[in-house]
Amino acid sequence: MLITLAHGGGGRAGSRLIEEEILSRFGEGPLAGLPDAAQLPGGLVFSTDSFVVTPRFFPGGDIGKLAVCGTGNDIYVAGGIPRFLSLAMILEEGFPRAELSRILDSVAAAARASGVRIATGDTKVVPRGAADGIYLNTAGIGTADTRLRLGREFLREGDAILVSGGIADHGMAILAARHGIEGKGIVSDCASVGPFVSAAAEIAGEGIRFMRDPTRGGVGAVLQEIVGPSGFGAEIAEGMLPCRPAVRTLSEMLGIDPLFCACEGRVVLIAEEKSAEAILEAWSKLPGGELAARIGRVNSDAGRVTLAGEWGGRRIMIQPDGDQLPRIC
Amino acid sequence: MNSSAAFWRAALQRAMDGIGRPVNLMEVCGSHSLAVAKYGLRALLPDGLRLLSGPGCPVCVSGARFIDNAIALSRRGVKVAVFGDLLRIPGSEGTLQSEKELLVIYSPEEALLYARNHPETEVVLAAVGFAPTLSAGAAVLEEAARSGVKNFSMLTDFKRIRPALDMLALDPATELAGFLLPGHVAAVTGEKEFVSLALPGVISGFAPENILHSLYLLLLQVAEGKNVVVNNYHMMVSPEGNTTALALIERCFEAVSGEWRGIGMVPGGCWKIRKEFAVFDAALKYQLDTAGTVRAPALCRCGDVLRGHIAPCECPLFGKACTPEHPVGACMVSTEGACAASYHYRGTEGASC
Amino acid sequence: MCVAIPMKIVALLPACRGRVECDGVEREVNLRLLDHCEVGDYVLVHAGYAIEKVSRASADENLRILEELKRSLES
Repeated sequence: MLITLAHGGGGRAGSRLIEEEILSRFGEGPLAGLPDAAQLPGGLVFSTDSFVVTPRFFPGGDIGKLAVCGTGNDIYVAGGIPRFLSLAMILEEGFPRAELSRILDSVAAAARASGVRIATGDTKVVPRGAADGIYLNTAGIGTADTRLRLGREFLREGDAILVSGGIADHGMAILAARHGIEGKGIVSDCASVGPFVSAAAEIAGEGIRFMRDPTRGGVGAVLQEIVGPSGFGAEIAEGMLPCRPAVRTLSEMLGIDPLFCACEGRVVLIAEEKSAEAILEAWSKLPGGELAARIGRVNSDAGRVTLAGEWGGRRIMIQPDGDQLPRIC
Repeated sequence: MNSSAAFWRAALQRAMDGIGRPVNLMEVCGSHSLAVAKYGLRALLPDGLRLLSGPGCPVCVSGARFIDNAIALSRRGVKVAVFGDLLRIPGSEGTLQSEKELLVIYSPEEALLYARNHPETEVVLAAVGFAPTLSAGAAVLEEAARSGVKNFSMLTDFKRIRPALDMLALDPATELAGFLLPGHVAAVTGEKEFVSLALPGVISGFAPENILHSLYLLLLQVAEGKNVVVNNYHMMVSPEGNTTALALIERCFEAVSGEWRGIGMVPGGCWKIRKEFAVFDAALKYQLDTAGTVRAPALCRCGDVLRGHIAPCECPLFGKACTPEHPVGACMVSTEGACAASYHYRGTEGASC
Repeated sequence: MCVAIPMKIVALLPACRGRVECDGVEREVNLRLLDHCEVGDYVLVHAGYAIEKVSRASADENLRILEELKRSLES
């Protein structure tokens, strides 16, 4: 059996691979339950992520900014505040130095903006053809945000499910760039979710049950991950999913469901019902939070995400296997 | 539920009261199936009205042989350009998604452009589709001929929907009472492609209200015993269609009989590249076997599901040899296919078995 | 069955091509399948090709049935 692109796409194939190859070996201890970031002794939060995006520059960001925000966001949604990052680069022979400078400038700017320091790093160069230009890996260490107490075990029926802004911006921006589609409406949401998590923590504290940043596989995949092992389900109102008009148009043009399309600056947050409106109000005042919305509620339908159609019908959400690709039908 | 929903539920109920017996309608087009599922329109259908999902997903009805040939080309080092939705379609042994020499495209033009920019690489556009994609394919074919590009050819499995509808409608045992007809196909072919079907038809767009309105118009025909094609997508569909595109298709392709996955041989249901364009026909260029059919397992009852004869779970392969991960017939391939939907929704409201 | 959306032509380009726009999304499309187009026309775009012009025609008969239905269900 060979590894296919579907194994990296955040769908069912990827989940199976991780279960069979990773959890079978390392599933005890901090990796149990596959959190976005590990909780280590001493109140430390630890995470890592690799970045192989094509194209490397896209409207709203680039691979450098993504590498800082991506790992930082994994720490934020696990209840930490990122402090230090490592930066490892794999470069292909022949990669333009000027492009490297541009990417590293972007790493520096993003790190400054989110208050993290690059603390250690590594550089490797591989022969032409052995990599596609540049790959980045960052690992991050954060300290626990003491206002938060997160865990699936705190979910309750009736909890509100919120998303901090329009969905699918990043995934659509990447797809558009790959297929020669442009326009002022196309821009990635690539950013730190720090301000959103902090605002919510200030309002609701331990009333926040759980968070995830919906990257690979989008909001749909993240919802499935959250409820999968929880003993609860999620009911999502399709009509409430916030989507900018350009994203809606792109999704219709390319035949791609925004529900399963990546964000890089949003957070899906589950909170006790009584804090939901206050969180949404605070979010809607933050840059990028204009479309923040309540998208559904936690129910007792264990392990299942249900989609309620705008016209009344309900269906079980089916996660696509692997990355979504442009369709003709 | 919004207020229009209550209105349409009442309207469809009234139409069904006027008919006084169960009615099976078929939405022919995969995009209609998707909209019906996404907006939850089935919840508005009165008792006795069933909406079956038809064969109108060109990717799903593509034969295993087509996928096998695309895989074989990729393994010979040819760059194979495909639409994203072809990657998960099963051939007789596997899918395209683990192949190396792939170029995932949105427009067939991207394949020709790639060939021009990489003159040392052999490029094959592997394309399927109905009239809209067929017309784009024809435009690329003519452009290739005009430019005299040497390293580009096309492996095609374009389909024509009309003969498949005739097969379903003319079957004396059919349980179908009418077709919701595909709006974007009709934009190219015109209303005329669908006249004198053996069952009533309404050409529909894809907005929920438009679909519900079209279903109502279809029930009116059933109630009155009429049998005509009604155009309910006038913004896009004219009586004659896009005559420029149709003429181009006619210059490049000829209609032939061919295999549809799960349905079998459909007379006049496939398109073949004309011999004037033979140098761009990948089947000839690489001497691929396109005629020999890969037989669907004998027990696959896709055809009966499509005709409304049986529910998906009555097929002996359903959920056993045939699952969304390892689909056998067309109805299990697409998420919106009748069998796939039925499989995923087992044990919930909206499940068909 | 065929993913397609209406978009507005904002510029005509050489070689039978045009730039189309909808909701802040722009792309170049091939206009070869249409006889004659002008800036401002709406076209139905599928797989990078404009496959038909969008017309203003409406189905009077279908609308009449709809109006009648609304009246009768309201009364």
